[in-house]
Amino acid sequence: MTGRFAIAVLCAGWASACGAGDDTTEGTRAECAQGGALTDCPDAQRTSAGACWRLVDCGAISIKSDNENRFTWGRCVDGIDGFSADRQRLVINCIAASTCDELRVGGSPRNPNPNDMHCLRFGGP
Amino acid sequence: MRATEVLAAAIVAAAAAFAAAPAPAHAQPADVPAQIKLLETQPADMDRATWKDKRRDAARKLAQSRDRRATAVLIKLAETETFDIIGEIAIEGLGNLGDPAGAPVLQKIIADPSRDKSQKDLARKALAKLGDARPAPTPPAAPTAPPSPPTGPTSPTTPTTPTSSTAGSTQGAGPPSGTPRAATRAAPEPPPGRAAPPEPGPVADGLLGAGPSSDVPGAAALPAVPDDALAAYERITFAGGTANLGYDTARKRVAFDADVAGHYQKRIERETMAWGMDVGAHVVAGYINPDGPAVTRGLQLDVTASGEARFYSGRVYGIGKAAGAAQANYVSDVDPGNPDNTLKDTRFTADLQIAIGGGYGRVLDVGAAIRVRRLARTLEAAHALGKPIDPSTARRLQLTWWALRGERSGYRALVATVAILREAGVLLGEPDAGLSYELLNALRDSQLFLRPSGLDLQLVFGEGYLQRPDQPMANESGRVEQVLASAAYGAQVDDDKLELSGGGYARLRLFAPDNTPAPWALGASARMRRFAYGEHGDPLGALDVSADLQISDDDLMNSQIGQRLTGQLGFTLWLNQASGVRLAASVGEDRGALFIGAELTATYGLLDGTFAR
Repeated sequence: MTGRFAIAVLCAGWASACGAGDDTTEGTRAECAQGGALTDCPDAQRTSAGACWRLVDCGAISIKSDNENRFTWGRCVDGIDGFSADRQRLVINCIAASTCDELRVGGSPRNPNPNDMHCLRFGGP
Repeated sequence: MRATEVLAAAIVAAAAAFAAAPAPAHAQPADVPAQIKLLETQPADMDRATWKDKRRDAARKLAQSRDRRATAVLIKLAETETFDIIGEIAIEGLGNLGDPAGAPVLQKIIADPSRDKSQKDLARKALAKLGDARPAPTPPAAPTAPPSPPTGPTSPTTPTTPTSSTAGSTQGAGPPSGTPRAATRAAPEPPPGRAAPPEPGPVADGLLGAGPSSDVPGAAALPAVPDDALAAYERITFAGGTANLGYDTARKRVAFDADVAGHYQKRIERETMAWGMDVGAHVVAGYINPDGPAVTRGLQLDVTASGEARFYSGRVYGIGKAAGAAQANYVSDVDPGNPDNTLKDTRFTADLQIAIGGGYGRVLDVGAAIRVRRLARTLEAAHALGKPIDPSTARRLQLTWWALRGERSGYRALVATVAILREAGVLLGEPDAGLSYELLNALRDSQLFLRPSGLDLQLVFGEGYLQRPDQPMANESGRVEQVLASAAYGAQVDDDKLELSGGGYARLRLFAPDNTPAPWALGASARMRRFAYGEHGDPLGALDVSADLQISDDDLMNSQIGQRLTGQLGFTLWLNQASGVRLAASVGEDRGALFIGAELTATYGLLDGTFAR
């Protein structure tokens, strides 16, 4: 699966899920989710799962939802794992280096649009 | 009347001048017996550490008293207190007392090959003060007895515990003694049960080669650390990261990505003040250009800086902090098939914050001090420890390692360490191959970095301005006030082979405007690490167990209070140079979602046995 195709799938899922009521587990915020530079922020693991946990820690995405089209932790991991190796590195590095405020997009954390997440667009096709 | 007033004023002035005049260097006679008693007997209502300090003060006062009743006491201290600074106070004091009865013991110290150079120099100066500046007697050719064990307390800051080098004894986490190797050393054969130190001094030649003193950084090359520093560190990571570039004619695709970071940290902890700074930069860049109009390029630049200063009164401190950060992102992703999906986005965020508050205690990184202790244990196990490593030698060793940290190999660190230990009279004789290997293992042990010790509790109030993009609307933007609490704990126990550490944090936004969330979060963690070493100081593996608890609330409409509990286990054991076992497992629960992971890797084999003619 190419990166662009993966993003398209993710975006289609988001679009179909928009506005739907559902049971969502948002997850717990890490110490640096809010508060700016005064708060300590540990490095994210440079893996697809680690990068997606950072998105949960920052309140950018939720852990799971009964709406399968929502962009959750599981879809995040599957999406990044489907990227080519170079694109995967860029996305993971971008997420690890970003502040939480940079990672959150409209609808975060329950119903984010992955197409708005600049790190997911970083690697290109 | 006027003459009377003038006379009275003159008398008063004279009396005042007399009172203000420097008192002669005579102590109160009644003080001498009291000071002698304090030196010899620990008061029942005084703890040992306080008594050590008081003894030193008493020795100084006796030395200034010029009372000959103090001579015998100072002679005894000069002869027996070879490991505590009080011995040097006594040596110096014998010169100040001016009693010729002190001359023989000073001559004896000058002639004693087991004594430090600094002690001998002090004795020479004291002897000169007594009017006896005759050259010191030539040391006897035969090895002399080692310094007597201290009869009094040793320095509380002495980083080593052993005070004798009794054959067969092992202390601490260093490699076990195994077969005693004292006889294989170049050092003279010690009498049964005792190690006889050769004359300490620069190493002439031996296993580590001649003239190693040139490998010992001079004082000017050592890092500038204040004399009263409790701890200090400087960490530099420059241009750490990866970069990849690829092109192939099959797909006609160019791909480039880079993740580069630089980091600088410095911190100095002193008794009454501590300060630290942390500056970093991080760049992530990418360019992917496949065949066709599609192209993606992006750049992310992150710059951070923070600093803090603490002012202590005992264990309690006041603290001021400042932090700033800026991040710029640029992403351009051209979708040739769908122009609506093309993204060109530039974002900028910035933080500028200050905080003030207070706290209790401090946590220090004691890794370098542990390395010194390991050296002492290694020497003792090899029956090559002439005396404990005193604080000044420990400081010199640590600063020398600091100065040599940029070396490509560990050769200079080893040679400098041996030279310093020999010069201080700690290392008896030239180390043989086995001891050199064990010393090198101690110097190269990467498990001795970031070893926390102490307790630190802190509460601060923060005020700052956060610049955030308008879209999407940030939960926190503009002025943000918050209260931050943190706790940290670290302990190195069981001869530094077991580390217990933990921490906690809590954060709450204050004074949030109406319709603006006031998120909060708190968490705690605990960790245990057990390190294992082989017979000769080789790291054998480590066991790492940790647990974390986090609770948070975004304070948004329909948001949930989150709680996450995670635990990790890691175990590594190297069976031989080609075999090992690695077990890693983790379990986490976040509002009913359970995550379990485990990994077991085990390999067994031997290094290749090869021969070629």
